[in-house]
Amino acid sequence: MKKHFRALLVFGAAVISASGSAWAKDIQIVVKNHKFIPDTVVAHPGDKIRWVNEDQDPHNIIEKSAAKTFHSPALDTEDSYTFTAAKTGIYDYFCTFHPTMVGKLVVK
Amino acid sequence: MSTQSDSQTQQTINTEINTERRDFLKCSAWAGAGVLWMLSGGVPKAFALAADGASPTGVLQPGAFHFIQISDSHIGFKKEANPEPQKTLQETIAKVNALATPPSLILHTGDITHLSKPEEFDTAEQLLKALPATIHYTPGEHDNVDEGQGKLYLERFGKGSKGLGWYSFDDHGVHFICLVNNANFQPGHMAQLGAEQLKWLADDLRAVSKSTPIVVFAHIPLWVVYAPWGWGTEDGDQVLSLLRGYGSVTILNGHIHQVIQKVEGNITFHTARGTSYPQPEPGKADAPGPLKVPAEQLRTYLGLTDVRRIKGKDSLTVLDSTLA
Repeated sequence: MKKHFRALLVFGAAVISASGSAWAKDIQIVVKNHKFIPDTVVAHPGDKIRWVNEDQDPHNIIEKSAAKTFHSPALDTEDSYTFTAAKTGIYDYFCTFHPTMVGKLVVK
Repeated sequence: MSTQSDSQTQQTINTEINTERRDFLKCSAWAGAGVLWMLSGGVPKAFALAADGASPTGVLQPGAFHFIQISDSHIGFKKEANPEPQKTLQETIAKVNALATPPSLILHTGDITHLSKPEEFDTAEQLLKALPATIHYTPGEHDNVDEGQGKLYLERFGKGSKGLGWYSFDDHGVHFICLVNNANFQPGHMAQLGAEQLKWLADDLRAVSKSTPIVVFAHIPLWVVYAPWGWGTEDGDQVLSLLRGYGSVTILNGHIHQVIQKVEGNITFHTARGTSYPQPEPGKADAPGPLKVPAEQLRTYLGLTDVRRIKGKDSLTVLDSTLA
């Protein structure tokens, strides 16, 4: 029993180490038909947000502030970009290929 | 960027020709792999290149000044809408080279590459070297997504330009102005030129007489074609207000991969079809983007209409044809 408990502790530590938080989530945003789906996402520090481009057109993911907290390279079809949320805040982002494409990431 | 002047330019605006041009511009469904621009009576006129690369009959008079606009080559694009855009660019180049009278210059109105990769710029540069005249470029939004945000474009095609790549030059009495509206994007907004470029434009135009024909070229349409898809330039009106006092203004754009034209007073607006793939008509799809058509029909979509000015006739003759 003691042995099993120790193994569980090791496993738990590994999970925390890998994700930064035992409760960290992977969140996916699909880029399709020149839209971010969903266009607003609520996440927590440690969560990984992954954008996947399903359009034939390339897109990119650029946070709009001067700091550009996250900014992807050009994503061709089926390319993806992942950002791990660190600080709380509201992050508006857009695609510079198609600036009418906008999205919002809320980290709290 | 070469500079030339020529006394052949007729700076008198011919009302009759303007009327013909309006009639011609009503025919908005024509398109070609390349667009032939010819100056007649001080007014630039557009003609689609014939399918065999020959100029439309009766268009090219000896010594006439004409130039070519090509656009949206998207070298590096590999999707099903056209897996070989380099091949269709080569076909376009072949048509230009087959013209009986070589053009005086060529305008490329942007999206030379698809993803601003060095190898895409290399391929485009090598292919475009086969054109028979100096090429004047303006960048598209696909040309400035490198890490340097346009550095690769400026190094190759923007030498001597100002700011993000804008410049002007004169050729055969026509004042050409290259504007850049593929940068400074703001979320939720259409393209913008920005205050710095608009100030430069105002300064540039101070030295240009009102009778000088003006050609403005930029990638994204300077007028609002379709706002929900971002097909327009938010501060384009400020450009138009600077140009309204001039007798003949022609604005050439790309970006939307299809021909749409309109005339407002002294200003003619024209968007060219790309050399790579078609896009949907404004609002007629869920979103803009490469339009897949059956492979055997691609060149039909890239097809063209000849607009000819038959010698001895004042009217323009419009003939639809395809590349198929």
